[in-house]
Amino acid sequence: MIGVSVQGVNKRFGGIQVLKDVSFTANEGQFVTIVGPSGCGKTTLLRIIDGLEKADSGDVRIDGRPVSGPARECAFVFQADSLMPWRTVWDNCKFGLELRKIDVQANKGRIQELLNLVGLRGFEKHYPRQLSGGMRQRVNLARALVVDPDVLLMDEPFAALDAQTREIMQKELLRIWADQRKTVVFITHQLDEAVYLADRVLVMGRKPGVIADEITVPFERPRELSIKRTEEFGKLVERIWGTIEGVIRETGGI
Amino acid sequence: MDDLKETVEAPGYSNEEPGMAEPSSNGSGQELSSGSQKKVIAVAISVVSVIVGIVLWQIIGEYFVGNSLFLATPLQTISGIREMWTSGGLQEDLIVSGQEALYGFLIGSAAGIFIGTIIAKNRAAKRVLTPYISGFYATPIIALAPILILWFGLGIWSKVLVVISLVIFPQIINTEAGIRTTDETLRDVARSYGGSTIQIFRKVELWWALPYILAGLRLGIGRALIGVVVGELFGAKAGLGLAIFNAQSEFNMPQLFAGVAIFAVSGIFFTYLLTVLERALTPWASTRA
Ligand SMILES: Nc1ncnc2c1ncn2[C@@H]1O[C@H](COP(=O)(O)OP(=O)(O)OP(=O)(O)O)[C@@H](O)[C@H]1O
Ligand SMILES: [Mg+2]
Repeated sequence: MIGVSVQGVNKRFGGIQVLKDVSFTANEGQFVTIVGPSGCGKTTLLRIIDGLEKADSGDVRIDGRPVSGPARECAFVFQADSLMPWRTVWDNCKFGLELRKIDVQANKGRIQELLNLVGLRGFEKHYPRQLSGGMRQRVNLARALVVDPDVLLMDEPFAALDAQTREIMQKELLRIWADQRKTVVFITHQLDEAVYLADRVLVMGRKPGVIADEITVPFERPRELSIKRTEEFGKLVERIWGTIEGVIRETGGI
Repeated sequence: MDDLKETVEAPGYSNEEPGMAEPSSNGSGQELSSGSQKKVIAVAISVVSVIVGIVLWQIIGEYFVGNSLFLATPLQTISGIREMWTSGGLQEDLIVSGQEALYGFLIGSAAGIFIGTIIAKNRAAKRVLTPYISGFYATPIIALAPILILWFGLGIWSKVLVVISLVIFPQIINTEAGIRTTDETLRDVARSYGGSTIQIFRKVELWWALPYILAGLRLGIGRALIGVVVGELFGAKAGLGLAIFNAQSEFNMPQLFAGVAIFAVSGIFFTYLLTVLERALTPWASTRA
């Protein structure tokens, strides 16, 4: 079964073509990462999948149903810090349930389970400003998981983290994903992150944004962080880097 | 002119505050022991400062000025209050002025929040109302007081209107700025979970604007008191402002100072009350001294 299907999507902002004829599919339970130079339209593509933005043309489906506005099957983990500063960790986590008018009381156990899963037991009553960047990002993730989405859309969720925390979060995300089996579309600038996490890596070109390359990652799961140091891993990263370099050269500068 | 002027006391959304909190079962009420000690010292310093000020005032009034027609001392001011109380005038004046300030403050603030919201949410309303609001906000609105007294008479409602006219504009501007500056990402989060326009307003924008609205209320307190005094100056049957002007015309310095002192103390008290309210309603904002 197909989780996310994007066919022939075009998008313009003003006179500028941001996405041109973008197509890809992510099967149910698959982990797809998207890399590409800054400004190539990654965020725009993810927003279109989530129904926050409308494509000018093309077909976007979640679990086979066409998208026409934010779908219940999706949850979005934003690029920027996006917790409500006035809500505690706990109250942030129930935000999605509240908006979707789902009984919070009946889901208390689930919220607690997810908070434990992301390692935030004991921080339920803290406000976001009392947390470190990594902890806030984990609350972001927990908030998305609480609504039990089929599809998890993640926009550079670990961009603000230092290298060590980032690696730990990558491992944790894979653990959670193995546990919950969501379809994941994950944007990142970090090529090793893209390869480590993914079943498939999509490389985007820009001006306009197109899918320039698509790579299937052969590594077995569960994956140890140490595979990042293997030669095969390095080769994959190099191939992706080559494609992106080509894209940047063709379109001039960073 | 697209944007209203901002006179906002920018509330602190310092998300980047360093320092991780330790996990604890009872949440955030942790930094107490050393924090409360510091707080006690801070309050003690303020109290001592006020006491020293009053004592200085007494000494200067008694030994350096020595003329109660020029400067009433704290003790004379207190006896002035006692005189006004025993004559029964103070009670009536307090009730009248209190009503004027309270009604004006409540109505003006509520209307300000309402209109500020409308302007923030509706482009057409913003276009129509902005020139008036900017204009009124820029003019010394207190100049309207004589007109309002002429139109609405010597009773309390003319003063209530004066107070409303003073309280409403800063609140409109603060509320509008609060809602307008809402982080777009937070709106998107709500949208992404299927939030309706009303849900986005109730669960995101209103919360974002809350510190701005509370700052507007705090500004409103001082302006409400000004409105009462000046309003009663231009015409009133009773009230503490009127009492001040009567005391002035009789050269009754102790009673004049008494009136001013009562206004000052009410201003301080209600502003403090609002600070407490702010702390209670916005516990997430970084703790300010
Ligand atoms: N709402 C908008 N209005 C106009 N232009 C937009 C809008 N959103 C995005 N763009 C433009 O579309 C292009 C792609 O933006 P997008 O945010 O999708 O890039 P990105 O690949 O996510 O970049 P980054 O890696 O830096 O996050 C950019 O040139 C940007 O200026
Ligand atoms: Mg982006």
